[in-house]
Amino acid sequence: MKLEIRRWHGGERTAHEVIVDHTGIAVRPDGGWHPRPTAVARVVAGVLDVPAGDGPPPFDGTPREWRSLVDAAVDDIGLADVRCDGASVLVLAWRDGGGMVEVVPTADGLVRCEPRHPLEVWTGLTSLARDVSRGTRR
Amino acid sequence: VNVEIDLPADWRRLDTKPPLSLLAQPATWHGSPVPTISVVDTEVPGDVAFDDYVQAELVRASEVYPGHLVHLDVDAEGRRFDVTMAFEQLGADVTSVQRHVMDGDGRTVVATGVAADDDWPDVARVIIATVRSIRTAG
Repeated sequence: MKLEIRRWHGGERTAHEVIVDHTGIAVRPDGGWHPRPTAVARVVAGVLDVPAGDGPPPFDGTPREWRSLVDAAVDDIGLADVRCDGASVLVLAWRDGGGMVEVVPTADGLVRCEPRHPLEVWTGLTSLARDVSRGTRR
Repeated sequence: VNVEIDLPADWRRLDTKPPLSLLAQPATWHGSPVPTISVVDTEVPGDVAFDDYVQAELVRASEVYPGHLVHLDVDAEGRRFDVTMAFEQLGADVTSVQRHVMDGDGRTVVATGVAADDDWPDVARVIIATVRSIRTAG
């Protein structure tokens, strides 16, 4: 199974692939490797590199264009899109000093930002990772 | 001085010796590692400032449990800090959530909850609430 992580931060866009199978986890293009599929949450969290501190959300809940979030990902604002087999499964935006939101789609093609505590994000990531790692076990 | 914690009704206490003042696990659990909550009650030698204690604990944690820092919240006024890390322990990928409480006499009480990342989505709510219920009385 493959996770793709697209990350916008400081005006730069990076893309990583996290490939998980029963032999372990490989991260491309950096070449990182981990021997256990159960470590996928930690590996993905390392690539996301979101802040550990809570704080005021970087965006309020007003529906907005996705593009506006990408354009805002300069200076101390970050944005990441985690995709599993091509579909977005977790989209986050944060402020480096603390404060994070999950970006969710609205019915009219816009996105809305919902505040998330770092522990909420981690718990969601472990749930996603469990699905991924269980799907790769022999 | 007594240490109080709100342990879930379906968890059982195990035998302990000082400085471990509590060790508890779910009464029934399948698989390994078993989610565990512990409480350590110690005196910090010398006259250590809270900020120095926090810094020393974070350095120690990063050396003993190199992994991913999930959450950090320091309340200097309340002399309390919360730290959550994800790391490898004995071949398992685990999440550890801690609350440190320091009184004015250099005594510290540390509650720690640990569970496998695979189990974290199921036990996070109970472990976080229990660890955060730690308090000293008397």
